[in-house]
Amino acid sequence: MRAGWTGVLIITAVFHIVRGAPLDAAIYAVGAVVLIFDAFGWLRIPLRMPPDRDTVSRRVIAGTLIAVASLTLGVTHLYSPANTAIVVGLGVLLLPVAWADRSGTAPQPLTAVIRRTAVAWSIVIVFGCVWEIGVFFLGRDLTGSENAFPALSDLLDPLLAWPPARVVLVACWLLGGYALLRRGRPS
Amino acid sequence: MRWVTIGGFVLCGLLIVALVVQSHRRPDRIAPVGTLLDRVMTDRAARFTILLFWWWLGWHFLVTPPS
Repeated sequence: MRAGWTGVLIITAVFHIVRGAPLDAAIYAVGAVVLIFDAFGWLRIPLRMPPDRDTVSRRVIAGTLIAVASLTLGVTHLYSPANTAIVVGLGVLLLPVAWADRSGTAPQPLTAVIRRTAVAWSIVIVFGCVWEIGVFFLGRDLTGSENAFPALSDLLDPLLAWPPARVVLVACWLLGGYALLRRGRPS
Repeated sequence: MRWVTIGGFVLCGLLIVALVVQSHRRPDRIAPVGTLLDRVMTDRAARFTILLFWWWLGWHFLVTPPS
C-alpha cells in the first residue's frame, strides 16, 4: 500500500522532469523521500490527531479563513509574491495535520462495496491523468497544435486571470482541502 | 481536435458526477466518496500523497506562471 503511494509520487516527479518543471519534480521527489524514510522508521515525529469536534464555531472559523484567503488570492496579482507566501504558508500549516498519527481511528472495513468504489474512482482518475498527459505532449510536440490539444491548465488559466472567477475557484480549492483534512479523523 | 480534447475532460467530469449520483442511488453498489475517503485517509502515506496533490494544484495555478 505504502509502496503504491510512493510510486505515484515518483512517477509524478519523473513526469514533471520530462515536462521541464524541475521545481514541481523536486516537490514530488521530496514527498516520495519522506514516505520512504517513514517506511524505514527514520522519521519519528510524535504528532497525534485529536478527535474531530465538528462544532458550529469551528465551521464559522474555517469558513471565515477560507473566505479571507479566497478574496486575498483573488485580488492580489496572479503569480505574485503574496500568492507564493499564502500557498507556501498553507503547505507549511498543512504538514503537521497531514502527518499526525490517526491510528486511533477504527478504519472502515474493506468491504466489497468499498473495494469496488475504490476501483471505479481509480479508473476515472487514471483516465483523467492519462488524458491530461497525452494532451500535454501532443500539444507541445506537434508544431502549432497547442490550440488543438489544450491541457487543463491552458483551459483554466484564462478563467483564473479574471479575479471574480479566481475567487470562486480558490474557494472551491480551499473547501476541497478542508473536506479532505477532516476525513479519516477519530470521532 | 480541440473539441475532442475538451470532450475528454468533460467525459471525466461526467464520470465523476455519475459515480456520486450512483453512490446516492445505490449505496449498496457504490459507496459514497466520503466513506471511501474515511477509509483511505486513515493511512498516512495515502493522506500525505492526496494532500500533496491537492496543495500542488494551488502551487501550479496560483504561484507558477505558464511556461
